Amino acid sequence: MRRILPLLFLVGTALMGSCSLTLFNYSNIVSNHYALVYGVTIYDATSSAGVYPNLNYPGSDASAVAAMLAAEGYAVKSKWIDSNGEEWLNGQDKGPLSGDLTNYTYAPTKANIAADLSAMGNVVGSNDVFVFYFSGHGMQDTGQSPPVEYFVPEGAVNSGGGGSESLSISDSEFGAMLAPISSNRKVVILDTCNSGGFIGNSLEADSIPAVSLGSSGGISLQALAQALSNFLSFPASTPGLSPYGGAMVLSAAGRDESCYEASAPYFHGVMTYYLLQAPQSGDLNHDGHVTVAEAFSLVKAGIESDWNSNSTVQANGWTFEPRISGGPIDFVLW
Amino acid sequence: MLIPLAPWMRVGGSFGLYETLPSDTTGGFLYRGYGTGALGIFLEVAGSIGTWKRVGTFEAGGQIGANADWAAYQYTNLFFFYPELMTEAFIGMRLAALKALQIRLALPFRFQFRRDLDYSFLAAISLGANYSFGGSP
Repeated sequence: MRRILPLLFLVGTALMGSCSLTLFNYSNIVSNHYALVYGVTIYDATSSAGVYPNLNYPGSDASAVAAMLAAEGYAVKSKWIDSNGEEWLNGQDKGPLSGDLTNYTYAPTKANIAADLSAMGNVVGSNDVFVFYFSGHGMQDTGQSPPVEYFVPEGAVNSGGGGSESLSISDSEFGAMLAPISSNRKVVILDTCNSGGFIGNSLEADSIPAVSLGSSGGISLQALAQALSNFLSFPASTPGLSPYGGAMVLSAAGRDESCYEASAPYFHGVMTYYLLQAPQSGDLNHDGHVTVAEAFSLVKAGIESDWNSNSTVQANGWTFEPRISGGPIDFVLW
Repeated sequence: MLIPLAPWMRVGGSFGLYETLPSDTTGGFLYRGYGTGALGIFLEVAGSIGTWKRVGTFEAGGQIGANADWAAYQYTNLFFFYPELMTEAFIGMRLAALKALQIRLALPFRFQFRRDLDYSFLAAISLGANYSFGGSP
């Protein structure tokens, strides 16, 4: 007669070794580090900083991120517009915006960003690390299914204060712009609203919904079911930048979510404020390196424990959660 | 849970929690670490290989089985799924003083069918303890 004998399996000790072989060949060591860094504070030169559509701190974000990456060994090219409407090229002040798009010689416009990425395609080798950073506005076209997300360069806000889709950069356009860069070690960091739409996970299910509404994630039956469904349907065609063919993406906010900048003590986009602490605090496992996932964890922890826990932030519904793309690989930033 | 099919054969179900650490950073990249919860079924065969009266009974055997694994990457809320096949050889010692307890030294091997990797497998040396409610199996 069969007996059913429930067993309690007590945890023992195990010495384990595992091996994973990826779709890409990462066998060679990193040769060089390159970065393109952009920020747009002033979208409308007739208004001052902080008056919509203008922001306050993307210029400061880009300046500080460029300095951080340069200090960590990156060859950085940068363009940003500061709070006085001045154009900055590679850390040098090039004077005020003229208000005429054709004269935005040094500004981070769509055309200039596309040209910079194209030029970078001739520089970045297959074993190099490439980082792209943008701080400014982001937007979403919900009239399309699935919605299309954009980040908004200089010159992409029309006279009515709305974003121009044709002068902004969508996730699919950006993927095409990144394609000439041959390295698989591409990292995209976006401190913009709706930037989670640039993440093209096709296998992983994010337990934080597209608009977090205060949720910081965790195990949910919905996420587990979605993960199983994704496994069965992989490879599915998804919008955004798949980590398998595009880049590892760190976004300030979810696909349907806004993110914020703030004055003291931040004086930056909130996500960038914590990202800037990565050189000092980002090596979470103390192995001497900071990876994209470690930087993300630092940013997420800071936003959750500080910004999102603020009563004023909660009362105004300004909470948000950063996101990161999936895939089996993480990259060493420095 | 174990269901005996014969004195030397049983089928069972299992639930396990595992943590896979990230790889090193050689080459400027690493395989991400992840935590896994695994539901599995297995077939086990085992036979006695000797008795040491004061210590207990020794047995040797093997398992084959399959798991359904849900994992989440370290630092993230990104969940993914993969099935895996497992096999292991083991020797066990059932204590004379506490027959419900078996100390087991095993060599598990697991092949993971991940969609995002060409090959992924795990080989291990494990030391564990089984406690049987209702008597020794």
